[in-house]
Amino acid sequence: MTDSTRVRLSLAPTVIPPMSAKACCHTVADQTAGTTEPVVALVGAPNTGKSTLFNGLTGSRVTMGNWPGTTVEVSRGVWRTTLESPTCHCEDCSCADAESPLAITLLDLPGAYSLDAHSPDEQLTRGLLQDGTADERPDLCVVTVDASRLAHGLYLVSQIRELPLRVVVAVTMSDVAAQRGVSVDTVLLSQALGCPVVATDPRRRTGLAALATAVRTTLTDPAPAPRSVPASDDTLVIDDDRFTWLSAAAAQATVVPGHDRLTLSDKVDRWVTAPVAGPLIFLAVMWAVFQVTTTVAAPLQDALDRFFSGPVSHAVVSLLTLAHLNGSWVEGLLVNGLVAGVGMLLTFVPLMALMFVLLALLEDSGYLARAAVVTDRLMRTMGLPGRAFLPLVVGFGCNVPAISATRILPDARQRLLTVLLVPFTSCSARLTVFVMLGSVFFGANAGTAVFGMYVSSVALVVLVGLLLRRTLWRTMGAEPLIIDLPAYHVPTLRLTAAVVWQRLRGFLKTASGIIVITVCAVWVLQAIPTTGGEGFGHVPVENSVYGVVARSISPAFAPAGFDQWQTASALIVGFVAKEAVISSWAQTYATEQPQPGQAGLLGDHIQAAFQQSSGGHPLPAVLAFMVFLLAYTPCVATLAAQRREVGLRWTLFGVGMQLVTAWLLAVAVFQVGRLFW
Amino acid sequence: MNPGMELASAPLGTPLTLVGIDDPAHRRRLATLGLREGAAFRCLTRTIGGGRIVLVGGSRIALSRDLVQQLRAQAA
Amino acid sequence: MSGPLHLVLAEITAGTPTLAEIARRTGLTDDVVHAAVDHLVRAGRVTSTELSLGCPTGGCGTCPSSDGCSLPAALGARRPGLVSLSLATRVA
Repeated sequence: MTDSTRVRLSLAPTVIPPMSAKACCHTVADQTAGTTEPVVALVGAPNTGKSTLFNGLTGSRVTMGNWPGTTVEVSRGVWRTTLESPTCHCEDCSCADAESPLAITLLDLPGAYSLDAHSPDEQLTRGLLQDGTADERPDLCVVTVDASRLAHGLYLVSQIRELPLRVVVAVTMSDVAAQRGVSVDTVLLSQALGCPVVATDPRRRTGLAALATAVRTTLTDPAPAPRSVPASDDTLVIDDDRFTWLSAAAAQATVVPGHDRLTLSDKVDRWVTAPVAGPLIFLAVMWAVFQVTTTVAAPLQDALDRFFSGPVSHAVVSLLTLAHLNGSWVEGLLVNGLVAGVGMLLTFVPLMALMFVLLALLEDSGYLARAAVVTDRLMRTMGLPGRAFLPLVVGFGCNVPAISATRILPDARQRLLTVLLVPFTSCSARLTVFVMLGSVFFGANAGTAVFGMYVSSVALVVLVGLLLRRTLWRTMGAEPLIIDLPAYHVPTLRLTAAVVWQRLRGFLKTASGIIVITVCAVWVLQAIPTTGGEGFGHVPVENSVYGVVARSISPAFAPAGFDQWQTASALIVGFVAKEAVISSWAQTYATEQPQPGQAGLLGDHIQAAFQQSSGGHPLPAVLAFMVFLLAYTPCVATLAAQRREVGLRWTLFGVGMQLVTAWLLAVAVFQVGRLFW
Repeated sequence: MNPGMELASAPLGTPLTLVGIDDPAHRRRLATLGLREGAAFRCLTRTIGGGRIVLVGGSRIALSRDLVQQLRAQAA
Repeated sequence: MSGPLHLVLAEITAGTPTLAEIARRTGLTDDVVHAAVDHLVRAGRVTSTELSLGCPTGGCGTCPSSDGCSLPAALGARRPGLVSLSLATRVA
């Protein structure tokens, strides 16, 4: 179907003779000899049921082909219509009374939102409808419009109505609209648009006969008078004129039910936002999220860990042996640096994926708006509007976008307060450390321990919020809460999966950079000797630059029960990026071992370390450590974001406040805890 | 003119008409939500802290207690 | 000129936080507001970025607010939950 001349001919409009009393009331095709069937173009935005309609009208009589000179595929089909017609009174007519057949050539043009030609599909549609001579244009356009998104689909109609073209609008998806309580009155819409409007359901094949009637009737009319376009150089002015027109048309034709009905959503809300049940449900939901995440992700992480510290490391060593590099600092860098680091990174993936999926599902289902209502009271004790809930929740995923999300708060002081509170939300990077420690020290209670950290995080946010408000911003008022609640609906799996994949990809792309660089930097610092007589890369860790720095800091943690220098060094790395904590921690022990593959015993090393540093009270010390990790400083990226939002002074204030809070809390947890455990 | 009852004591579920908003500062804000004098609405549930979820014009809106205390309604 | 597009653009410029609130302040229906925002994004007047949960932690290093994760609105008819709209810097 690529012969352009044949295509041209098939587009030639049928000659439509003027109506006269003597003209046959039956089809035009009967009268005009030698010309072809009328050509009707089917246009409309994507996802408006256009292709379904095309298939419904043409059945299997379809040919596909490229539009000449383009790579755009266009389907052509034959639409056989029959029309109930009254008894013919023509003098020389020979057609049957009951029906008058007419075969229409139907072109299924690709989905186009408008004639503005931003894409090849739109260019094609514009080319056919707008440019070109009268001979080349189709005889009629059928535009599909989604009833549940009327304004969206009417834009194309508004542009086509500026051309001297016959138009019939086919409204689809009325069932979806009805579910939302919206119904479209086709008569009113037709009056407002100035062209016939027919409701169709291509999937159920209703309305198709009515569409045929409308199309055939319109074919016999002259083209309607086009809408006038305001003269302006500004495209926005012209577009807005169309919008004004279609907005009025949609308003006229859309019928919203007279009284509002109670839905299942409302019944659920009665419980979800109730004074006592609401917060309990909220806590239960959050607990379930973390429980699922830890129980499902943990074995996967374990398996990945073993894989990297086992087979992969051995493979690298074998390769290096071939190159006679084994035992050198190159092996150290590659195996204990890169492989260990990258391996650790990848073990995060199951955890992250699960977390993202669960949070996205909660958001998509509409539950989060209810959670905002439940947490509003808490928010307002801190002087924050309910809207501040959103950045804080984002912070549980990652602190960096949460800082940016504070821009939705109108008041500068509220923004500042929220920015200072965001780092106390336990981001998913911290979760990885909690999960590891939880499984090493708490066994079956790991999920509960992690959940406890999240509860602590929330408590910290509230308490620090209260403290700051009472001391620094006593006069800050709070607006009353007004939140629009969307209806609950089942989350779209496809959208959720797409969102999660995007997040993961972004995480892998950028985290790999940070982690690899940090791991290599740590390795280098560990390789630089400080005492004479040891070679680069062969120095025991505690004598390297890294070890010296860590050892000078670690005594500060003695009252908190974790003054091992390896533990302290993990915290130093955590300042750079929390994702790198576990990798570097493993590294500090790995480089003590002559053989690679011992990183999988990190849990054992840590257990021994805490046992020793806490003087026999490892559990409180671990809890103290986790609390410190929760509260101390956020990663460098978060600090950069904070600086951008509130300036250097406040960022430094935040860092100071966090270090003090973290240390005090860790010491308190250990000193009190060791009385019991 | 019927001053109406406080929304806080209005029963749930029954159709109501808004007759008054005490604080002028909130009047404009509420009007943009469709809650203006003479508007028809219903209270659906009580929320934590003494607020309400109301159904007005097809939208469900959660209001906090201080707002609820500002509103007066009578049975429609 | 006070057509829907200009009204919605003015609201976005003024920082009105949600589409529902834009609809209330302008008196336009939700349907028209969504369509207007869509049109403005297509026309390049407004950029849309998603502010959703569970952003990659490792993205911290290069995850600035505006260029986080922009999911094309064409992915199904459902719009993502939290979307941040901002005026596009435009060379006139």
